[in-house]
Amino acid sequence: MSCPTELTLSIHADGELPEHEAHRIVAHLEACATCSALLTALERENVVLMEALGEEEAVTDRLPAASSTPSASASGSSASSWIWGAVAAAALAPVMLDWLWQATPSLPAGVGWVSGLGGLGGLFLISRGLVQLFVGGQDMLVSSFGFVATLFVVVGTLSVATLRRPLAGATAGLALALLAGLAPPSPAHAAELRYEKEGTVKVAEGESIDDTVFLAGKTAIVAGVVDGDVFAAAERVEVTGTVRGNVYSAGETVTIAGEVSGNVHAAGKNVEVDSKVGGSGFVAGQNVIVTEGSHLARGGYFAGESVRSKGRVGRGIIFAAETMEVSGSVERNVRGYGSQVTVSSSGSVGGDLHVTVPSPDAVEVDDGATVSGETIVDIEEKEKRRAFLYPGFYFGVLAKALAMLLMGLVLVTLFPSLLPPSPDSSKEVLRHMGFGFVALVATPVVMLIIALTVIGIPVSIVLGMVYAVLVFLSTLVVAYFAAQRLPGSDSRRRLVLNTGASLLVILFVVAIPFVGAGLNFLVHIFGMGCLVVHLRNLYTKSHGSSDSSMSQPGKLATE
Amino acid sequence: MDETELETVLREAQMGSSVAFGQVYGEFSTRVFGLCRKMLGSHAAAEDATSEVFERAYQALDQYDRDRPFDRWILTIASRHCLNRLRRERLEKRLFHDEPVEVPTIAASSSPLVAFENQEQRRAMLRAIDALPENYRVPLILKYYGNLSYDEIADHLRTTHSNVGVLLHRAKRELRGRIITLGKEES
Repeated sequence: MSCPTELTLSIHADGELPEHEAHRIVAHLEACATCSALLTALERENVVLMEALGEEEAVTDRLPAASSTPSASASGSSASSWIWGAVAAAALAPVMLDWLWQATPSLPAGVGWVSGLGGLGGLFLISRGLVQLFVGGQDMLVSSFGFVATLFVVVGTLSVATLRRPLAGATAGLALALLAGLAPPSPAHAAELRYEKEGTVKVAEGESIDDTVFLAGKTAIVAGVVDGDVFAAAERVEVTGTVRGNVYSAGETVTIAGEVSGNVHAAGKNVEVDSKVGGSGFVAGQNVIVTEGSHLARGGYFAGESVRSKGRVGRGIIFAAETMEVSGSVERNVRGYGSQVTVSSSGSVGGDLHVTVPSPDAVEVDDGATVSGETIVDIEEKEKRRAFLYPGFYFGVLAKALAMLLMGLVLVTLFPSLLPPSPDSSKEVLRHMGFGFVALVATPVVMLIIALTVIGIPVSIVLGMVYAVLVFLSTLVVAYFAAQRLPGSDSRRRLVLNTGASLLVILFVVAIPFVGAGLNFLVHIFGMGCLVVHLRNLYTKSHGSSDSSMSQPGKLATE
Repeated sequence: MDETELETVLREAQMGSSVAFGQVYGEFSTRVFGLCRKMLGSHAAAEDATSEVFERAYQALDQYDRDRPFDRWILTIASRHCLNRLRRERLEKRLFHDEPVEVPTIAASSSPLVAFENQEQRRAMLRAIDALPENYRVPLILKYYGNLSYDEIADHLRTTHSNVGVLLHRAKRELRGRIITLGKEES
C-alpha cells in the first residue's frame, strides 16, 4: 500500500476518518516510519493548538470585559444588554427591598396604613411582605394548607349561595362592604409588622403598641394592647389583649377573647369569639361560635357549616350556615339561610326571625325562647317548585326586577360608558361566556390568595364587593341585550321598558325548577363575561388617554 | 459548579428563573466569550456577541434538551451566531467554498508549530491565528477551541465532512507558513 496523503493523516489525527479507513492507516503505520513520524507531528501540532487556544482563555479572563459579571457586559453597546440588567436587578431586588425595610423599621407617623398603601409607605410594606413570602412563604403555605382548604370551602359555599340568590348575596355583600367601609378608623397611624417563619409572633402581655400591627407566623398572639388595627394570619390566632381598632384575622383556629373596640373580621376552620366587641362581627368558618359571655355591640354576620351564637348581639344577625343555633339574645332581626336553624330556650330575638330553610321542621324554636316579632319561615326547595302558584312569588320577581332595573338606570345615568355593547356573533358570545366563567370561578380564589398575604385583606374585600356587584348586574346585562333584539328598541323609553320585560322573563325562567338553575348559571356567566370584557376594554382605552370618564373600581379589580 | 448543581440550575433557568440563568451566565460566559473573541477577532465585537448569544439562549432555553451537554449547546449557538455575523460582514465574499488557495507547502513533520513552547511564542501564534483568513480561522477555532466534531463544523459552515478535513489541513499549513515568515522577519 502506498503512503496516505498528509490530508488523510491530518483527518486521522483529528479522529475523523471512517472506521475501515482508520484501520487501514493503523496497519500501514506499523510498517511505515515516515508516515508514523508525520502522524506524531500532526498530533503534537493539534495538542499545541489546543493548548495555545485554551491559554488565551486565561489571558482574556483577566480582562474586565470578559469577566463573568453580567453588569460588565451590560455596559456594552449592545441593545440586548437590558437582559443582564434585568438578571442583576432580579438577583439584587430582594436584598435591596430588605435593606429598604431595615432602614425604615416603621412608617412615619401621620401616614395611615390605608392611604399609605398607595404611597411610599405602602411600597415598603408590600416590599417587606414580598421579602417575607419569598423567604418563608413556602413553609408558611405548607403549614397553612389545611386552613387554605377550609377557607376555600367556605368562600366557595358563599359564592354558590350568592349565585343562587343574587339579590340576597349582593345585599349581604354590599352591607358587609359598607359596614367594613364605615368601620371607625383606627386611632393610630403607623404600622408594625411582625413575622416569624416557624414560631410564635406575639404582642406580649403588658406590651402596648400605638400602631396597626401585622402578624404572621405559625402562631400569632395578641396579649397586650394595640391602639390600631390587628391583621393576623397564622395557623393559630389568639387575641386575648385589647385592640382599639379592628381585628382582621385568618387561621386554622382563631380565638378572639380580648376586648375589641372596632369590628372583628375572622375566618378559619374554628373561629371562637369570646369577647366584647364594640363594632360588628364578620365571622366565617367551619365551626363558628360566639360564646355566652361575649357581646357584639352591633350586628353579627356569620357564615359557616356550624354557627352558634350564644352571646349578646346589639343589633341583628345575618347568617348563612348549614346549622345555626341562636341561644343568646339578639336585639333586632335574625335573617338567614340554613339547613337547620334552632333558637334554643335561652335565646331571644328582639325583632323578626326570618329564615329560609329546606323544610318547615328544619326550624326549631324551643319553648323558653322568645321571638318578639314575627317568625317567618321560607321553604326553599318545595316552595320553589310550587312557586308559580303563589301570588307572592310574582310580586317578589316584580320587585326584584324593578330593583335591578332602577340600579341599572342609576348606574348608566351616572356612567354612560358602563353600558356594554352587545356581542355581534355567536363566537363572541361563547368567548364572553368563557371569560365570565373564569371570572366567576377565579375571583373567589384570587380573593383568597390576596387575603392570605394579610396586607392584601382590604384589597380582597374591595374585590369581593366588585364581584358581588358584577354578579348582581350580570342578569340585567343579559336582559338589556335581549331588549335590543326586540322591536321598537330605538327609542330610549321603549328600550328601558323592553329591558324590564326581558328581565321579568329571565327571572321567571330561572325560577323554573331543575332547568332554571342551569339557565341561571349560563345567564350569569354570559352577563359577567360581557361586563368583564367591556370593563377591560374601557380600561385599556382609558389607559391610553389622559383622562378617564370611568371611576368605577371594577375596571381595576377585574383587570 | 458540579454536574448535579448545573443540572438543578439549568432546570430552574428553564422554568424561568432569571437568577438561575444568571448563574448559567457566570459559568459559561468566559468560554462563549473566548469562542466569539477568536472567531470575530475583536474584543468589542465579542462582547456584543456574547450578550447576544446569551439572550438568544435565554429565549431558546425551553428547546434545550437536557440530555445534551450544555456547553456544546451554547457553543453551537455562539458559533452559529458568530458565523452569521461574519457572513453579514462579508456577504460578497464566498468564504467556505472549496476553492484552491495558494499555500506554501510545509509538511507537518517539520512543523514550526510544535516548536512554540513558551508563552511568548504561543502568543505570537495566537496573533497569527487571528490574522488567518476567516475561511481557515473559523474551522480551526471550532475544532481546536470549541471541540466540535467535523460533522458539527460542516453543519455550521454548510459544507461537507470531508471538506472540513481539507479546510483544517490547509489552515494548519497556512499557519505553519505564516509562522515561518514571522520567525524570519523577527530574525
